[in-house]
Amino acid sequence: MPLALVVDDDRSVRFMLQKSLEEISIEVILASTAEEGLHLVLNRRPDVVLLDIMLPGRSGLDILEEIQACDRRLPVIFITADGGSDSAIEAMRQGAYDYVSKPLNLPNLNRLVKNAINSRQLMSVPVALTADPEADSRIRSFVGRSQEMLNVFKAIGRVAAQDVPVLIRGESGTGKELVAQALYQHSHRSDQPFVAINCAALPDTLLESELFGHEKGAFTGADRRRIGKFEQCHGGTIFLDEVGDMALVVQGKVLRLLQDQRFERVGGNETITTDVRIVTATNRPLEEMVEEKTFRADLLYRLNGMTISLPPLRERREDIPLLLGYFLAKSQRALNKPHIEGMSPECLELLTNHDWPGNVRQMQSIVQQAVLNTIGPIIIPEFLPREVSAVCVTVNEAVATKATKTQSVAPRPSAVDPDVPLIGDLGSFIEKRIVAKSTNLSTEVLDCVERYLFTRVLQVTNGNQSQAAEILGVTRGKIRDRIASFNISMERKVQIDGDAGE
Amino acid sequence: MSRVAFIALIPPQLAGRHSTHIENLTGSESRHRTIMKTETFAGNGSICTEVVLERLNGDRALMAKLAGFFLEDAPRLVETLRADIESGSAPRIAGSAHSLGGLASTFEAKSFTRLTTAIERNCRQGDTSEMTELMQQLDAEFLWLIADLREFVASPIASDGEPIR
Repeated sequence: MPLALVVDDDRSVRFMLQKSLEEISIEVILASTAEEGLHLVLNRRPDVVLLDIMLPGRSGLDILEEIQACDRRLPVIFITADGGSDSAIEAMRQGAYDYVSKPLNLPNLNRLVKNAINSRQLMSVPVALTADPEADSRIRSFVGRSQEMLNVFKAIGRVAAQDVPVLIRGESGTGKELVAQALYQHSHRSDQPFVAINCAALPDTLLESELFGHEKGAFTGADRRRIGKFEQCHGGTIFLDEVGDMALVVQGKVLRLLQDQRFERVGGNETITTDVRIVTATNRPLEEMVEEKTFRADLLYRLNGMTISLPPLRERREDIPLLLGYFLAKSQRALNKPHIEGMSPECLELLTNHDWPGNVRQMQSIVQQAVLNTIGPIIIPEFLPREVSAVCVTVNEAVATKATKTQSVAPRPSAVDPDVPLIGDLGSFIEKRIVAKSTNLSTEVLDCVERYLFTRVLQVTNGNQSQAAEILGVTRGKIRDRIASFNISMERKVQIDGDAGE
Repeated sequence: MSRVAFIALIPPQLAGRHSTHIENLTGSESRHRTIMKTETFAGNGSICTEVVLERLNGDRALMAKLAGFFLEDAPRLVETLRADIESGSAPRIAGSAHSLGGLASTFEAKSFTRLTTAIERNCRQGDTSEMTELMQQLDAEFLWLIADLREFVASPIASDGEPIR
């Protein structure tokens, strides 16, 4: 369980933060003075610190300096009485993770603390360039012995220590974020901040503000000055995921930053200088987007100091058994199913021949589901999710034979059957997971519901992602991300419909 | 402090402004019925329960607990601030006003926190000339605030059991 340290002389703040964070499964330790807080930083090694900027007799900035001397990567969130105060701005400049002003909004604060813990983990967990399925399950590993993956490892080794921008390309689920982490951890900036931003997850205006910050009054709701990630990440590495989803106006500002490391906050005149390494990733065809004038050519050239391309899983099939072994061992440990001995040959063959449109991320999910479903010591095809066991053979055959007939049919997402768990199944799913002593049930259930929701809406819109985004109130980038994450098939259903029609 | 005592302590300059509130205080039974029906809490208007609960994730029990902390801690902080003003030390006044304002901001006590902010801002700029006047206003707002928080803690809204999710 992640550990948060709250340092505040106001007992009501300590109480409400402890209650709020414990409800989202974060352990909380408390201190009412700077000395107590620093003692706990040294002895308990928290994952995040929430620090009152004005403790009796001590400036929060001094304490931040001491915390950073102990652990430069520990995210510190300041609690201020006035969000626009100079000390809060200065704190951000000195490397605070963020600041919140009183009165505290607990739902927002919970999200912020979760993000900070996630950042901490991204910075701290070593990425092992190993092909060993026995590797420590706490380490996020690249697994692969294929020539394609060895080339990726070599490329990371060549470019990590250089300060050049790196563009990571690859389909969704191939491990682009792992590459970014590895680049950071093997660079000379590894003791400086690493900040990851998903450009598709934020609306354009919010993304600009998130990256560059804004001045008070820059737009409706900008009631105080805000420091952006580029300023905050001074000296470190910033990872812009889904960079192809960035709006043109933001692209222009990023380009200028890449050229001379300067920018202005939104609504501001002051030019700010920063020193960050930019690592980007996308699964979108940037060259085509340049031709369509939806992506700036000059930015593409600037971002592309070096490209690392991650192969899809279907192009490195020799790694599939290795990966299956890795995820099987990992799921066994995570789900506490030590009695499972392995997979049957039929099951292995089915999975080896699968096309894995969602790549490694999909495989991880499939193996986890199989481990959950398995009764007895061996995983057999019956225990695989239906998207693999039932559809793999029949639909793939259909795809092969009917492809030419269906090319003009607009892709539609498969949804209610056979792939997507029905909401009605949710009760039994939850019961199963409770019996299995899940420690991640909230995420599992929310994933399940989200998967159903996205698929259902895409069905309603006949696969039109823009319409789906409008209905769901999210960005198109998020729709694309969820299609990939949840392995929502936009083709398979078409093939099935084709069959049904004949 | 009982409600009767509270009414007696209302400064004359506030009595007109809050006359309807005073009336409300004497008719607590009918107000409580209204509260149970609408699940809102109006009090004397020195706090905004809806906004507070939104920020606290709808957790009424938590709000009541925090109100309890305020009622226990704030009188001491007010007295510290008063002593600091008497001593004339601008940094100490600013520090005390800051703590008090932070504590009260939890309850969206706008009138009260406007005064603590003014005291803190003036002192940070080295200006202690209006402290006595500001402190008088703060004393008056403080009475409204603690009265409302006591009302809230005692109301069915705060004591209706489990936190709301």
